[in-house]
Amino acid sequence: MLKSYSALAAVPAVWTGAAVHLSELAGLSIWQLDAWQHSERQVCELLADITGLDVAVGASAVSADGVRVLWAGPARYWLVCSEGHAKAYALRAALDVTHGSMNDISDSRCVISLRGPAAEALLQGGVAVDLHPGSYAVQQVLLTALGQHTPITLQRVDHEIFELYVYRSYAQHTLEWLIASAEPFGVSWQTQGM
Amino acid sequence: MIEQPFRLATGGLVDRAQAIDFVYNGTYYKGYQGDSLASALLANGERVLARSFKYHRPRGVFSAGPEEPSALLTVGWGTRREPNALATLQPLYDGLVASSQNCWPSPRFDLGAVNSWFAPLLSAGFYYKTFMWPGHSAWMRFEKIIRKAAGMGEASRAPDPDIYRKSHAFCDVLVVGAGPAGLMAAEAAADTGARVWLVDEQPRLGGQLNRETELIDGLDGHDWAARRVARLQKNDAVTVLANTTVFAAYDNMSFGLVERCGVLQHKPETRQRLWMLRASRVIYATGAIERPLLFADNDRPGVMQANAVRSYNNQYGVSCGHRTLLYTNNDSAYQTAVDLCSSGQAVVGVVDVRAQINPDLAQQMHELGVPVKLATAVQRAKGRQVVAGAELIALDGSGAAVSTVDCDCIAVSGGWSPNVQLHSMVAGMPGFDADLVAMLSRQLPAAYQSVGACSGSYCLQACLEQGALAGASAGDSLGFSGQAAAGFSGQPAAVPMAGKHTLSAVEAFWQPPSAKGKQFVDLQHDVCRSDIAQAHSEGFQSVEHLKRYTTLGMAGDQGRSSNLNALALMAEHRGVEISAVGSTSSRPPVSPVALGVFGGLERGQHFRPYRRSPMQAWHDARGAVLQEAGLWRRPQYYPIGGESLEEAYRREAAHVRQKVGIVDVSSLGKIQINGPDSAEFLHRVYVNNWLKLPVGKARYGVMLREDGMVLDDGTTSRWGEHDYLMTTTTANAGAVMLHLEHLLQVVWPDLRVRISSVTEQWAGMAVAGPNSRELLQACVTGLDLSNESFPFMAVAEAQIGEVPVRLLRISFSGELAYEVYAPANHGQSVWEAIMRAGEIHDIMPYGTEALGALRIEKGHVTGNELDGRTTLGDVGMAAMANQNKDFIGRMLMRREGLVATDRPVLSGFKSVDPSEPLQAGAILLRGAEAEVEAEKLGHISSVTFSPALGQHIALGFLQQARQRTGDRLYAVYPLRDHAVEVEVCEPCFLDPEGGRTRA
Amino acid sequence: MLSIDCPQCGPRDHTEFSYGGDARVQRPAADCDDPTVWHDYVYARENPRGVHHELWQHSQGCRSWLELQRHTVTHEITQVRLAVGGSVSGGSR
Repeated sequence: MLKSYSALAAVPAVWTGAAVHLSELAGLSIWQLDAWQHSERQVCELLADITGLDVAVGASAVSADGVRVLWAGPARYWLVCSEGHAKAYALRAALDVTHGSMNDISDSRCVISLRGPAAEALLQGGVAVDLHPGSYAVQQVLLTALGQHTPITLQRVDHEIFELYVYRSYAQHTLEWLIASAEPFGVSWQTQGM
Repeated sequence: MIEQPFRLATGGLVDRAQAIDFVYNGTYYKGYQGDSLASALLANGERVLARSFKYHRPRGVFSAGPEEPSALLTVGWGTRREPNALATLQPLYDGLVASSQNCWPSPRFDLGAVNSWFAPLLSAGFYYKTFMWPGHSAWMRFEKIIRKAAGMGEASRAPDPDIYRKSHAFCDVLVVGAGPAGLMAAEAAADTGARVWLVDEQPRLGGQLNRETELIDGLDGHDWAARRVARLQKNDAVTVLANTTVFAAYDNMSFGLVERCGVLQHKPETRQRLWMLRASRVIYATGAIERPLLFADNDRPGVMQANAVRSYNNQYGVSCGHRTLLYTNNDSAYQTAVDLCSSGQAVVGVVDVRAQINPDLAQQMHELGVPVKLATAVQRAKGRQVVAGAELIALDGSGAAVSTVDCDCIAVSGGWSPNVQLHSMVAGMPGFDADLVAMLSRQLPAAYQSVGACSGSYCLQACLEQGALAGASAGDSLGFSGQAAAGFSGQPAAVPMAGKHTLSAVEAFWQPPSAKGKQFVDLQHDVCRSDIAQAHSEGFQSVEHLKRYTTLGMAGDQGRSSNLNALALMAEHRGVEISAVGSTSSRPPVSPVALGVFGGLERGQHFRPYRRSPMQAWHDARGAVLQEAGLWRRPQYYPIGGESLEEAYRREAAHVRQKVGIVDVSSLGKIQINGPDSAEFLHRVYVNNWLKLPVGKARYGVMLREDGMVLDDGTTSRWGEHDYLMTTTTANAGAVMLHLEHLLQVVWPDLRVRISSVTEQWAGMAVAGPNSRELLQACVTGLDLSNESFPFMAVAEAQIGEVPVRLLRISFSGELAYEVYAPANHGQSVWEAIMRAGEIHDIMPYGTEALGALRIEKGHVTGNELDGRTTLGDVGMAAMANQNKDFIGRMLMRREGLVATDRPVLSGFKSVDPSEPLQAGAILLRGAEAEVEAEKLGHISSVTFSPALGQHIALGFLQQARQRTGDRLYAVYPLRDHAVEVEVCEPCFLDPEGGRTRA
Repeated sequence: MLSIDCPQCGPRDHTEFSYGGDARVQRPAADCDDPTVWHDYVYARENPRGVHHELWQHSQGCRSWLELQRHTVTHEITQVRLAVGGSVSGGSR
């Protein structure tokens, strides 16, 4: 098989401090499930069935054993798992067209992990949604924008850990912006990591 | 020379153990930690700091806070110079460099002061009148001189090397102002467990407490404030920001804040930060400022607010003069007399316009040995550069002769004006309160509260009580119980005890006696009492006219100290009450904000996102010249050696027609369409038929807006029973997505269709040219590319180097061509695989310029033609529309004007001299001269050199184009004085039957 | 700066939204051939001083189209719901 390229390959490593660690989560598959107008419940049940996760209609995010289901918009869910995960294929086989559709959109997003005590403040510089833990809980997913132009999907994985799904073509610019914005805190970026 | 001759031996909140060196106008000075630039300069006896805006009159420090109209200095030097910094707000730091502005060679000796000789010419309306002089000739002559002489500080012309940052922020309760009311409010709100922001624009929190002598709970006010601040800072739920101005109150409780991070020392990594804060409740505790009283030459350095004189005495330990005269219409100035006496300063007297005062005050003054002159006014300040005396006049109607007092400082109090600028941004214009003699904001919405002096409460005890109540009620109204405040006492904030002393008995005194000399109303903009009289007599009587005609209140200080005096003067002229004159509305920003802070990091490479193709690294390595296309940057051409754009694209385009080329089309919009009703959806969106497109086929489609104009075009292909992929133009990708989402969600919610942008999922590349089939067959597996099994408009999945790819046999160039879509992460390696396989076929990458040349040769339209004003008929595709079905735009495309036969329609053009280039945007005329009456027959939209035809060609729109084929016209571009004779031809220049495409 | 309470995402800055015009107009029936009806649908608009029903798309978020009741003087937003039915598409923006 031909080589796969990271959208962030051109950004050199940075170490100016440890308040935020940035890294790319490579090798993830993202499957997008779309339900029709009245079939969201069926799609969620199917997701729950196959993943073993408690996927309620409209639930922000659930995860276990490296499989994660994220809310991605009205009647839209993402199944995020490692590449070639059996559950994704099982789901695709089981999904009936009367309920919804499923597409592999893995290459459309680049996933950047932000961890550290300053991660929240760094993101708050670009995100116009209150990220205080009292308003934005662990696990929760936000569909929002970073700055004025860049649409993102953001998940708070833990108190000080965030995962940012950004469109691939915006990824390098976004990372460079994050590094520049994090300068007052101290930031590190390494080119590969899981 | 004595060091700091005006520094008091003791007292003040400055740290005398920490001396600070700074430079002012090239000379070294010393100040102390805790000084403002103004207090340090005053301590050093520097009284003339600036020259005024219009008349270049000497000016000094007037206030001790953000309302300062006069002491504007340039801080920093070179690229870091900041003009118009308020000396009263700028904290002193080691190595600070400040200089005077609007004067040369120095503020004390300024050649620009010749402007004051022309003062009669420079009165209100000067610019308007001068503009109206016949022929403007005088204006033209004098403009440069006057513009140079009038003005403020000068910005550096070089790019700002410092960094500005921005951040969003959120809180439950925002408290603006950290004086006694604000501190109590913040504490009470924090005690309920709410998230609190406390913001103050001064470096030292405490507001008036830093100047007051009243005790709170037995503590000095500043000490009490410092303890409260320290306690608030320990609470994680409270954010305390000094040096931060709330410059705007926007809709839905959002606020603009600018934090001057670099004001205490130079901080290149974050000079200032913009906070866009959203709060659930806000408490304004913005205080009040002292108004001046008017008299002739009231702008002389040494004429100051009484409270400012008190501030320099109490907070900074600085004397503003050796002999101070107080001039007032209310009680508060007497506090200044008391404090000056207790620090051993000479107070030569109190001049009070009132005929009677509180006997206690009179007694107090008597005990201090300060003479009080009642029913008396200051008529004029004496002294050429600084105050050297005051002329007094009796107001008892006796016509008593003018007497003169020897003094070097006139401390003035004309009453207090609450700071209601932020209030009025949400509550509209403030109203005049005759009892307080002040503008007050009375109708704040429920989520806003106003406490302390800005609400007209001048009693310290009342300020504390109001603050505590407001803070607690703000927290309560948000459902905070008071239990959540971890690490906090949990006790409801006890209101501390302070004096019940209040400012009372202010007497309106708007019409001071006339005297020779200018009476300045607006010090910063040099607007005089006579200007207001002139505005009135010339009919500019409404406040809005007054403001614009005289520029009153339009300077950086927004007329904080001048507005009410001006309104009162206008009311007097008009013979009405002040309340009938009204007030101008406050708009953001309350005080000047550096533009850089709005830009933040978004400049240079961070200005806006740069969207990169999956093959970007390859293009860069190959030396491609990039061209902006929205947020994308696409290879425009790949120069070889020192090739120019012209040479490169001609080579690339010719090569595609002769052999094979590859172009990156990843930026085309791609929309995944799924669902049982997808075909029906496409059928309604596109003008043509979509119900019978089989799986494995693509079709060209055009979509209209509902008004009948073309929105976009592209191919959509069917990959499965319920699975389509639509492509859009790069430019319209976003608009089409929004359009389709609107239709599905709002107009046809019953359709079972879901769409999703997959532009980013797929790397797109077009392989075009006679050799393209042979080349691709060599690297594609799982698909027979022969014409029989994979004809024009077929689509199929296959592999290249084991990577699953999508192949579409579609052509934009008019050649045998394929588009290859690979998953984006493999885009570059698939591209490289095609390049390797193409070596023996002489493959050549081509850019957007060659892409354009090829499509123009074929008469294909793009954004240049589909500019939102084009109908289907205009581009010769009217027959494509199926009028027997409903589709978006069906009815309005039939409007009379849109089907008129004289509409310009798509046409081709060749320059008659084949080597003469054409110009997009040129208009088509019968003659070469662009006369006003000349009949415009159409215009040129796209131009190129056609390597296939060996000449310059163009697409454009022309009336009766088909009847004019072979005619000669002129493409005229008057702005560049450019006219080219052209021959009208069919829009498709090459292979109109499409034989090459289908080969 | 307006804050719009998206039913899917919660309160968001208006910078995340795109304005979509009057929410009260209804697309005429597919078989309607009366040009004046279509003209009114695309062009005829009220411009009230007061409550306005209008469409906004949460374009930098969940991409839902919403119908708002917004007071054109005070900017007060009294209702937000998912938009279904009505309004012009690809209109003369």
